[in-house]
Parts: sequence; structure tokens; C-alpha cells
Amino acid sequence: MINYYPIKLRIKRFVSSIVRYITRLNHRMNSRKKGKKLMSFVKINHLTSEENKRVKQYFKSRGYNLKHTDWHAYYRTLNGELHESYIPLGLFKSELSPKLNDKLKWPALLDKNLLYRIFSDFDQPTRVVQNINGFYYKGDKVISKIDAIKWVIQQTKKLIIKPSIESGGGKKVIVFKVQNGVTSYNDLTVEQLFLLYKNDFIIQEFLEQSNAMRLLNPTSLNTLRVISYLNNDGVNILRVAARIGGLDSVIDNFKAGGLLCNVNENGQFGSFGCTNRGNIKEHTFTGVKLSECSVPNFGLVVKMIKSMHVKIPYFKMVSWDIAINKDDKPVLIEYNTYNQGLEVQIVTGPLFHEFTDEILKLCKD
Amino acid sequence: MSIKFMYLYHYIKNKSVKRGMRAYRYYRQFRDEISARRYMRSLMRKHNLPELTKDQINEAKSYYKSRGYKLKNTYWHQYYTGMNGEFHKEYLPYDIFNPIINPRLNQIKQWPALLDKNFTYTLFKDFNQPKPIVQNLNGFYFINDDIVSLDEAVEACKSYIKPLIIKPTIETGSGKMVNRFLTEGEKTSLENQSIKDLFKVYKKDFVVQECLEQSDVLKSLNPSSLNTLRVVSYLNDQGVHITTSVLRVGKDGCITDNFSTGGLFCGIEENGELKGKGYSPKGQVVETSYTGINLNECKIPNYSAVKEMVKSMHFVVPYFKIISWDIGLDKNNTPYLIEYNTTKQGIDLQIAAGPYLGKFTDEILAMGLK
Repeated sequence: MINYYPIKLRIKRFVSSIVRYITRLNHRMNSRKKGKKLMSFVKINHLTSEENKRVKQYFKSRGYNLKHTDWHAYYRTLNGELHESYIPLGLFKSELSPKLNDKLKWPALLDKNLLYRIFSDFDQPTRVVQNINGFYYKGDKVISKIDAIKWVIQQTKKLIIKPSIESGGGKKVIVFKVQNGVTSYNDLTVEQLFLLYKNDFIIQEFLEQSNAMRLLNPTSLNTLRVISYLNNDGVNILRVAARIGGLDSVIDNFKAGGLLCNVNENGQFGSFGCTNRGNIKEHTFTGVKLSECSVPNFGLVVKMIKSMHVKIPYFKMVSWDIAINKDDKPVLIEYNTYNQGLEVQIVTGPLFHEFTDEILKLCKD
Repeated sequence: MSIKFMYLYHYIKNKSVKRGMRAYRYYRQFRDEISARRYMRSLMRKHNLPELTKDQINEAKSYYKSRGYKLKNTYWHQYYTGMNGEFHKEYLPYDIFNPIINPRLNQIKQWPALLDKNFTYTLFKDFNQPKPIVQNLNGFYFINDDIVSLDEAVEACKSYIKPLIIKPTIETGSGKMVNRFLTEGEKTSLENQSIKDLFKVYKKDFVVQECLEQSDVLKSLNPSSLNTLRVVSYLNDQGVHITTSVLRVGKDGCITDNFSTGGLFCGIEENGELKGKGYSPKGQVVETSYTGINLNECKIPNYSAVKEMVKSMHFVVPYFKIISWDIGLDKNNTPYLIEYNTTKQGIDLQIAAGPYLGKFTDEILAMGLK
């Protein structure tokens, strides 16, 4: 046998450096593609050469080389305010996020099916049936597929089905009811619906949300996107935004036409919201004036996030989706570490808020 | 960077990503095969094992051929047969298990997170585990699920009078960096290092836990180590099944019970009785433990509770279909989860327990080909 190991070590080092380079390039390219799509809806008011220089200098002085300032121009165009400390998506994905959040922990800990175990002490939507790696679960017990189908057929409430891994952006999220063994989604049987998802999905009861949140758009579950940051002093809330679904939409995602609106530290909504088409609105699609809205029990939301973040210290920055139930109590819907969109900056201002310098320094160390 | 370059990049990416993934799978399989071969070479150098007969070679090869696998060599059969004197065609070679079967049955992407020993406390919170005194997760110190400062973490260890165990929580195995120590003020019994210096050695991601006071029966076999049961479970549509189990007894004076550090393997019968023979990594076959206890007269206390615990725990992590569990018994003979393994499951226990996959060998080999 040839002496394989020294050769392996050299190849490994070489391949690792290439993989690192490609990963960064990939993040930059994906962000660019996403940016191009978002910016195509808006007539961008580009930065002047002086503004451009100022923004680049801001990042240079903190050790980062900013390739372009398109994201700054995008945010400024939409909200009229230029802040040097806006975080561009490409920089965040390629350099900041991998340093803040342990990449190896992503696939497992983001599995929506696992949330019921990690955050078992916190309110979450009632689960009806889970499929984990092909095995069907009712509660914590494995059941057969036939029993899983029977159990879903017995449900009388509105249900929601979604993939539990590699999900996001509201993809493949379906709200349905079952009547006489047939679902309201394209008249598929429950078994046919299961087949659409194959493995790794979850069926939950559709959460009955707080009256205050339902009024914003009754067809969708309107959630709060809370961004938290963990450092040695504990958990800090960076930004909060309300996500309100588009007219007749069942999901509240920005990408799917939802409205984003800032929420301040008292739970009070900001004066305007923004859609992914760049439309600035002072009212929701249902005519509710945003500046007159507030999040019920906002203090409980903050407390919940602070208690949950310490359960997953592998991630220093987490974006949480929190709903408010009919009793005005916060409910965890999901959390994101890998695909954290930064669009909230349109309505909230710079992502890292007062921690910008600390986080930029942390990611350079 | 021009827009054209961006579109070109995404075009190339879409065309090549599947091929790249396939190439990586082949590389990983090749890498694991080479590692298994290297391990085998080291084992063969240590032992002067008798050759298999021609009939045995043919029997093993034709068994695997009939199940769709090409047995490139029969060294593994030779090793197990040479160590215990019993030939079974169903012995599972490591160069088939590690590169082919394990990645098919156990989701690789779940390994790094779910095998973190600190996370095991969250995953298996309903099951008994040694009490954590201080945990370090990603550089943050925790006591009872609350973030604390380094000084508070040191204080918690200082005030603990019983022996403590410190071990890394990620990328661990074979008892590496597992240490038992006592504290006296700021100092530990480990080379008189201070608690802070000890923490510095481990940097981050480690756990300090209380040392389990083990069952009298297991303690009598070797009091210096925590002697655990290695139980292998398999999850299929019918539920969880125990394929094999062995008792691991540490080497005299050693604090870990790992086979690789000189421990003994002893097979366990269905009813918890020991099979009567212990096997050491040096190829010795013994009928008594280092402390002179006759293995034949030993029975694992509360063995049915161990099996029940393993079966219940496996349902928590269905991402893995084959798991090796290390279970200790406390002084009341209550089973405690010490750790579980999916990525680096040693299959050397075949020496003491017979074929690794037991009566599920055919079913699992067929799944490995899917």
C-alpha cells in the first residue's frame, strides 16, 4: 500500500482552503442574487461618491473590506436614512454569521421536530403528527403510518403542515382541514399529503392568535421576528420587527409579500411598514394603522427569548419567530441561525444596533 | 464583480452541485475504507493470529456476495476468529460497517450537534445521567442551565467534596482527556493544577460532572474504573431492538473502561448473566476479572431496566438507526446514561458478543445497499 497519509494531509489542507474560499464566494454570490432580485422592485437611489467612501471607510476601520454599497443604498432608498452601520447581507453571510454561529450545529438543532425537546418548557403550537427520518410520532411515541393517518383524520381543527428540515421562507407550508378523510388542500387524502413531504415534516394545530395580531391580517399567523445576541453579559435583544402576512396569504414571510414593521423596546409598532416590492405603508392590508398597534405582553416575549437563547449557546445570534396566542402569551414558532434575513434593517435600522462595534470586533478576532 | 459573473457562477453551481456531492460521498467512503484498513494493519501487527481455513474464507466471501457486498479481504473474520476461537460468517468487517452501512443508517449531518455530551442533557432530560456540576458550551459556563462567570464555575467545583470527572463534550471518544479529580481549595488532584488552569487545558466545550457511585457488582470487577455496559440498539419500523451487548471492565488502576485503553469485554446473555469469558485487547482470554471475580458467576443487576431505558432513549434520536450506548449502574443498580455513539462506533465487541448486528444482520446489510 502506498504511503497514503502524508499525501492525504497535504491534499486535505489544500482542499480545505479551496472549500473555505468557495463557501465565502457562494455566500457572496447568493446574497448578490437575492439583492438583485429585491432591488429590481425598487428604483435605487445610489450613494454619492462621498457617502460611498464614508461607508467603506467605516467598515475598513473595523477590518472589513466592503466590495459594494448596494445594500446601504437599498435601505436608504426605502427608509430615507443612511447609516454606515447597516450590515450588508454578503458580508454577514460570508464573514460574520460563520463566526457567530457554529456551522456544524445547524442541521440538527434547526430541525423543527427537535424544537419540542430543546424548548419543552416553552409554549409551542400543539403538534398532531411528526415525521422524523421516516418514523411517525404522536407525542413522543412512535406510531405506524396507518395510525398517523387515522389520527390526522380525527382532527377537527385547522391544521398546518410544513417540512421540518431545510425549510424557510414559508416554502411548502400548507394550511388545511380534514373532512371525511379528505384534506382541503387540492382534495388530497391524508396519505397523499404525507407523500408530498416524504420524510421529515410536522403537522401542528393552526395557532389561534391574539386578537391584536389577528386584526393585522386574519388569514396569516402574524409573528414577531426577534433578533437576539448572546455575550458574556447574557442575552441582548438587538431588533424586533412584526411580520404581517399579505392579503389572503397564510404565511407572513417578507419574501411572500408580507409587511415588515419595526417594534420598539416597549412593544409599540413603528409608523410605517415595508413590503418586498419596496412599498412603504402606514396601514396594513386590512386598513389597520400601524402606529396605533402594539404587541400584547411584549415583556413576556423578551423574557421568553432570553430564557430560550441560553439553551442554544452554540449560536450567538439568533432570529426568533414568535407568535402571540389567543391568551396573549408568546408561542415559539421557529428560530433561524443559518438563513437569517437582514431585511428587517429597512424598518429597524442597523441590525446590530448598539452592539455593532462589539460584534464586528468579535468576528475579526 | 459583474452581473455576468454572478449568472455564470450560479449556472456552473447548478450544474455541478449534485456531481460534487456524489464525488464527496465517494471520497468519504474511500477515506473510511483506508482508515479501516490502517486500523486492521495495526491490529494484525499486534497479534499473531492463525489464518482462516479455505472453507471459512469461502464461506465468509460467499455470504457477503449473496447479500450484494464484495468482501475485499477476510482479515476482520480472521481477527475476530483468532481472538475468540469462534468463526461466524456474519462477523461485520469494519471496512464495510464504517464506510458503507453506518452513513446509510445514521444521518451524518446530525452527528456534530446531537453527539455533543452537553446537549445529551437536553436531549435525554427524562433519563438518569451523572449530575453536571459545571458545563462549558461554546465558551459559556453554565450551572443548572444558567450562564455563570468563570469565578462562579470555579467556586462550584471548589465546594464539591466528592470526586469529579472532567471530559470534553465534542469530538470525543476512547476515553481521551477523561480525568477524575478531587478539589482542595483552588487546587485539583490533577498534577496539583488549579481549577482555572484545568479549565484552560480544555479551553471550551467540556463538562465537569459528579463521579457516579457504581453498583457493587460492577465495582467488584474493577473499582478504579466506571465499568459500563455497551448496548447496541437498532431502530426499524417494528421498534427498537437490542442487537448485542457487552460489559466493559477497566484495566487495573485505569479510570476508563475502554477496550482501547486495556479494558476487558465480556458478552452478556439475554437475562443479564455474563457469558463467562473476558477478552482483552492483547488477545488474552480470562475467566476472572483483575480483582479475581469469576465472570461466570456474575449477573448484571437490573438488566431488564437497562434494555428498557435504551429502547426508550433510541426513540428520541430516530436520525440514527444503529446506536451504541454506554450505560452505567449506580449504587442502587439504577441505569444511567454515560454517553452514546453513532459516528465512531467501535465494533470490536464482536470478539465477546458475536456478530455485531445479531439476528438483524441480513436486514441491515440489505438497507446498506439502498
